[in-house]
Amino acid sequence: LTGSAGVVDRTRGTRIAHSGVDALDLLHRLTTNELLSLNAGQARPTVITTDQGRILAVLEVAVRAQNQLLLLSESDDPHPIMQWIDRYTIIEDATLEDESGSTAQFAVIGPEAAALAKRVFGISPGDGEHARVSPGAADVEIVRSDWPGMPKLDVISGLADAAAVWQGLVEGGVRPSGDNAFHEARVRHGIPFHGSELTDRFNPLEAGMTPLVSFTKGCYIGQEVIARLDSYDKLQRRLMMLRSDVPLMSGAMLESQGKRAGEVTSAGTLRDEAGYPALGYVRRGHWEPGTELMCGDTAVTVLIPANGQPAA
Amino acid sequence: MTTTHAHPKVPINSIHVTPKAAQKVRDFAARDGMEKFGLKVAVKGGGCSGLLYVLDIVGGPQPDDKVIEQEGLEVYVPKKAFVFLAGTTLDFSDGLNGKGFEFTNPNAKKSCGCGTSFSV
Repeated sequence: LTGSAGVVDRTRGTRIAHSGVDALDLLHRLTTNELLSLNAGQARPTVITTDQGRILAVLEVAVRAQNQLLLLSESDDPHPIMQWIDRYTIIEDATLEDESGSTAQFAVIGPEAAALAKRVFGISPGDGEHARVSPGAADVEIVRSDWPGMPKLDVISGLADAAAVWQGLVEGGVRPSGDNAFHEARVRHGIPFHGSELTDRFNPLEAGMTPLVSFTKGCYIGQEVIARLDSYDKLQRRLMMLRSDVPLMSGAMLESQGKRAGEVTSAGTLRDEAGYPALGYVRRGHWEPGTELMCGDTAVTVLIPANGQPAA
Repeated sequence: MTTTHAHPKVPINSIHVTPKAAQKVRDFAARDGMEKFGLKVAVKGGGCSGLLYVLDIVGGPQPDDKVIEQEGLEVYVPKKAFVFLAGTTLDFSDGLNGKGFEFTNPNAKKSCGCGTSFSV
């Protein structure tokens, strides 16, 4: 994935059509990021948080056309997201339609992803853009949402066109890849994932999703808690990239001098020059880069914050 | 706007507008040159606690609005929002320390710090 570009089948993820005059405004009021400035052809990630400021799901909000949104989530169950939005849809003109079962989604990731997408589809959307193309008879949507320093495009089509779209990508030079390669790549690049790092046990600031949080847009569900954590520097743990000399296990506890210092949330199985990569939440007092922790008998080095976040 | 808890019990099939709040609505309507008007009271998703109060002076009710007469003022409440507002009192407090329009909502289990948002 990280050499040139690979394509991973992400069809099991969530795709929801959110339509209506009030759809964007409603999402703006329910989630962490500023969304009102989004125009047709643009996309932006945001976080649905609970009233405790915990993560329910990270959404990529793409504007297909005025009052027509496409919501993407890594979650393989669209229902909690739809139920949450529906619960707060009262007088708004906004409807939800689950497109997860009728569409396919392929993630194209890698340094050459944008160039290869241009070769295959004739266009190359910039980061934070949504585009619609019709290669042959297929109707394809492309949503670009880069990882920090790594281009990533989600290619979405109807199920009937999915095989042709996949074949077109592979013939265009994109390397077919599987879930294992996807997770190895994201762990190595410090990218949190739904259900592993992004769960209702953690808040967006802990998860390194601070760029997805607007501190100036006003209220949204969970805003008071998140604003307080930021204002008073109350973060108690941070998602960090880790390295060790033997592979770690997700769920394993991290310790320092016999005391709990964090937990491993995702672990890679392929070694690089610095060791085996992993991601984990590390408690305050232990998250300084270079800190040595223990996971059982294995020494673990705390590298840098995940998701491209600054160490300070 | 904020939520307070110092008003007499309001029938659960209605909402109550105090004379002061009704007069303030009339003042705003007069300032805007509105002759025929009513007060829309509703709830929408959002705010720190999940639900936000909506107040608006409008020319008339929508087809799905419940219409309530209070202090000579027509109050329009969308039927979908009424379940969150039944039994609510709307008051107005002015002056330097006044909070403007204030809701006393028996359905609100929790309100956010600034009082514009609540959960049920």
